[in-house]
Amino acid sequence: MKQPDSVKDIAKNPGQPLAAVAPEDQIPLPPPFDKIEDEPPIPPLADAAKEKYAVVDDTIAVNIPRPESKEEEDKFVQAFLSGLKKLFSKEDNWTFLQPLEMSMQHCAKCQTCSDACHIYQESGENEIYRPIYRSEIIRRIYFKYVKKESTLVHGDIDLNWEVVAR
Amino acid sequence: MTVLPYAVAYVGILVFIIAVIARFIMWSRMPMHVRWELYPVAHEGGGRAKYGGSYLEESEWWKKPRQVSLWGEIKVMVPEIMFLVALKEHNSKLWTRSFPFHFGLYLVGTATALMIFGGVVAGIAPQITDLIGRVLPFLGVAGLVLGLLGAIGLFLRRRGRELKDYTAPADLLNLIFFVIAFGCALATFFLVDRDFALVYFFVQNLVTFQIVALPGSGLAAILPVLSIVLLALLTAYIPLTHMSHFVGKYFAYHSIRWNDEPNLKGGSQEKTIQGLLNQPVTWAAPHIKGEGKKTWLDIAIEDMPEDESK
Repeated sequence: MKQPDSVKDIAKNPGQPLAAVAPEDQIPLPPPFDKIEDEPPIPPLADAAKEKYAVVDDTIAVNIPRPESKEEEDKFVQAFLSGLKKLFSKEDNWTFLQPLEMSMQHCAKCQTCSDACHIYQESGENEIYRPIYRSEIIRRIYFKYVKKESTLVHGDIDLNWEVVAR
Repeated sequence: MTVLPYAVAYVGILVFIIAVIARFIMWSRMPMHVRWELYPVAHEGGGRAKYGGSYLEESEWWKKPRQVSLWGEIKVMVPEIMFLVALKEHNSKLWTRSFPFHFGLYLVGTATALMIFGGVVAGIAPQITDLIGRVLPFLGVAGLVLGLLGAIGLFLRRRGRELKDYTAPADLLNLIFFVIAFGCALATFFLVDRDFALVYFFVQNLVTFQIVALPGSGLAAILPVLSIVLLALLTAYIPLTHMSHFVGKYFAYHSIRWNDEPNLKGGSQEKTIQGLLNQPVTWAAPHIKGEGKKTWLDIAIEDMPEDESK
């Protein structure tokens, strides 16, 4: 199974999918749909698509075009960070501030969400679809780049265009 | 050496109290948030809690008295706190490690509270103080053993394939701290303080502000002091980390999950919401352009600008 080894992989291998789902990895469907040979494979993305857009797996649901320069990339990342800071501001996000901060500070990584997630389970437990894979990325970005707290406490992650776009 | 355990204990307790109060204030100062319609709400009265219902089902509910059941909340919260009921239901593998860890902490906490009480009443009700002394070894040992086994179990789980990548160095350090502190306390019990008399003697002096040297020499002097120092530092450390979730949990239940106060005309909710709707926003999207001037209310009622790209 092609899947990321780590949360930090979200920042690596630009233009390459981090994961791929093959029919044999998935939980079998009930009969009469349980014949793997009848399952159409998910075709890999074309090289042109991988060059042009951000990719996570073999699908592209939102076309986010790759920036044409480093300046454009940095501007995109800074705009993301600016938006992330606003999510934690009383004026800009009172509607969701307390539950969001609660999740940031007290997620115990118990993985109950993973056991309950039908997408993660159906993928054959591909790490990219684990619910907290994504929330852990946001959590680490928040503590490292917004609150500037130690990565020894909250975990480390790099921040680049690839992370934001993926 | 005489003063060290007392000094560290006083500082540890003070830091714990201040940190817990600070975190409580932090959570309580956060603004009202949009309600998550989560049911069942434990305090829902009128028999509706058992099927996840709400007073909002009633026609013209605003004309009828609200039925709020404190007993309904207690019935849910006490077993949840004591036995981690929801965790057992949804993640029993984790419960087998988390429950002994937390229950061990409760027993150690209870033993400590009893020692404090015994110290306070020693002058006026010595028979109570003696009775507590007889119960202490059972509570203390059970708590330390359960807590230690639970901490080791949680540590091993953190090193497993599923959680390794989601574990920061501090997560492991926290558990190692518990293992060392509880392990040292157990070693003290087994080697030099089989009836908990030494630690009880210490706590009685602590609460009556008498700085008296612990009796004994060699290991009998070192181990109790080491245990006390480690446990006091642990006590101070806990609320400074995400292990302060025991404070957050109060708000997780009462503010996020169960706050179902109706927004009635002229009520406190209405006033709070009006204040929040008048907060300025800095949202920079071209169709909003808040710039710190427009409020939530302004944005909600303004006409959308024409889409210039069309």
